[in-house]
Amino acid sequence: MISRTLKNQLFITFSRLSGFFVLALLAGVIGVIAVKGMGAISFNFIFSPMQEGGLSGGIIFQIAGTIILITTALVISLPLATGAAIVKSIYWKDTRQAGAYQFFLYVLNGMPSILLGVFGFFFFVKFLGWGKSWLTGGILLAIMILPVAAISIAGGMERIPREYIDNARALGLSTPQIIRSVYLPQSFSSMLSGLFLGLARAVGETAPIMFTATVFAGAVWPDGIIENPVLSLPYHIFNLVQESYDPRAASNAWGSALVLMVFASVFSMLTIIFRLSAHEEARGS
Amino acid sequence: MTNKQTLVELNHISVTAGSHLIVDNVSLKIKEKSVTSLVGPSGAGKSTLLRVINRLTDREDGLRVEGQACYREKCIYTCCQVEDLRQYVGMVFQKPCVFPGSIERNLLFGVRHHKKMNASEIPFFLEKILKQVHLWTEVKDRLKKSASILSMGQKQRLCFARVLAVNPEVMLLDEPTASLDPHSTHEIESLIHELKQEKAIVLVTHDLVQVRRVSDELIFLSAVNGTGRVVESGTPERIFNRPEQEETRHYLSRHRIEEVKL
Repeated sequence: MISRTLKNQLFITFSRLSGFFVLALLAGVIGVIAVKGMGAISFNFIFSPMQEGGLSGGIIFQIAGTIILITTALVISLPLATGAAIVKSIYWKDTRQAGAYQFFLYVLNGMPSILLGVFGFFFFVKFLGWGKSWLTGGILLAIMILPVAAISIAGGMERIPREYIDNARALGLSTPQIIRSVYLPQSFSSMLSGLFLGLARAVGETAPIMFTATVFAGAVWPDGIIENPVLSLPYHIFNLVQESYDPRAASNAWGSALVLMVFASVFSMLTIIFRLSAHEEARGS
Repeated sequence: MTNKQTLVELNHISVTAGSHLIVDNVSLKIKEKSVTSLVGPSGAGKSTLLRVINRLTDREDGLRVEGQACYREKCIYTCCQVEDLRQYVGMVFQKPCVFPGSIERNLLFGVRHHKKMNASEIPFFLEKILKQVHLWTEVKDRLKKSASILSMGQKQRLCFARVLAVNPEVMLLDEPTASLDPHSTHEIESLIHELKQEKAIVLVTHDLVQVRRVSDELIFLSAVNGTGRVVESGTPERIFNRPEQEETRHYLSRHRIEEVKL
């Protein structure tokens, strides 16, 4: 019979090994991308347009297109996620609807991104006749971000101390006034952390944008909505990897991957900063 | 006292949470320019009654209020919007709660939603309100600084100031000195004395010495099986010295009433 001490030791050792394995895996992926990608990174690579189908030149329009897509997604998802969180945490607080709404958000969050791409293709590209458009990509990425952001903002709103709400109510503030004066300022950090968490995931997504918003070559700055695709880093990497038997394509794919990883890391770091700030606010109050 | 106008009147108020009766058939009157204290053991529904008066019970799930509650002889549920009622009937809570942000932001937190003020008016308004709660000299040089750095006593006076800024006729005070030191308690009691010159005050407290010091009227509630009822009411002098009901006598004796006998 195994003694309790041995069981404890086995459990602790297994936990430590698991933790170390996850850390090593993450460090390995980041390390390989950083080492392989650094070789391609130069001023010219970052700030010049692609040439020879990506075999030479840079990725300035891929970076610009990615920024356009995620900024559009941010602008669309911020008010929607905030509205969804207000409904769930304030107007439907402690009701069955709130539980159902949360379930719906989890389902949306778990939806494979390719399905969003298919929906976007048939609805925006074909039904509305927009063709490939940066706006469609922004909308689809916003839908991807929405559940994570809404759940994070709702969590921030639910952590606001009851005294704040009671005091504001007792001063004669209506619910919309309390939302503006208490809920929104107090859940600001949660709002940003949720959005950046969503963006960190969305920035690397290829599936929702490959049929709907982005092309491999031939696009620069959008000058309208319809038939106005952009270049993007994820789709650029997707294509270069397919051509990676050519060492120049492989090198540029690693360089683009490193730039994309920097984007995602910045959003992840912002998420952590704002999440810590949200917890500090909750503790401080 | 008898010539004073009644501002708030509760008639046969009962409050239930689910199937549990919290307050049973309570009737009381709150008169202008006076301090009415609600006294009784925990669970007697004192705080619940305060929350009924300014309708903070409205949004509490499963809570049902029956009976008639009037402000200036009009039903509080039909006389006006609930936000307007809370302008007339303000409330200070047990735990001083300052909002994140400056002292100035805290002071203007309620009033800026009810009344438009020119930027030029604000400094005079802040000075007037802060002087009213004797906080002006302590904070006049740091109005833009965070309110969170104030002491508990100062925070509670800031909470009073925030409510006074809205200019209510009735102030509901839910154990406002329960978390304060004796010096801050004394300051709040002095403030209550001054405020009753122009406002009706309803005070919930467990501090019988405080009741003796500040109250004009005392309403004693009992808690039997978690249900609050009014046992008796009258002047503090009469109730402390000649309680008519056995429950009152028993409660007062348990709380060392001999120390506070007049």
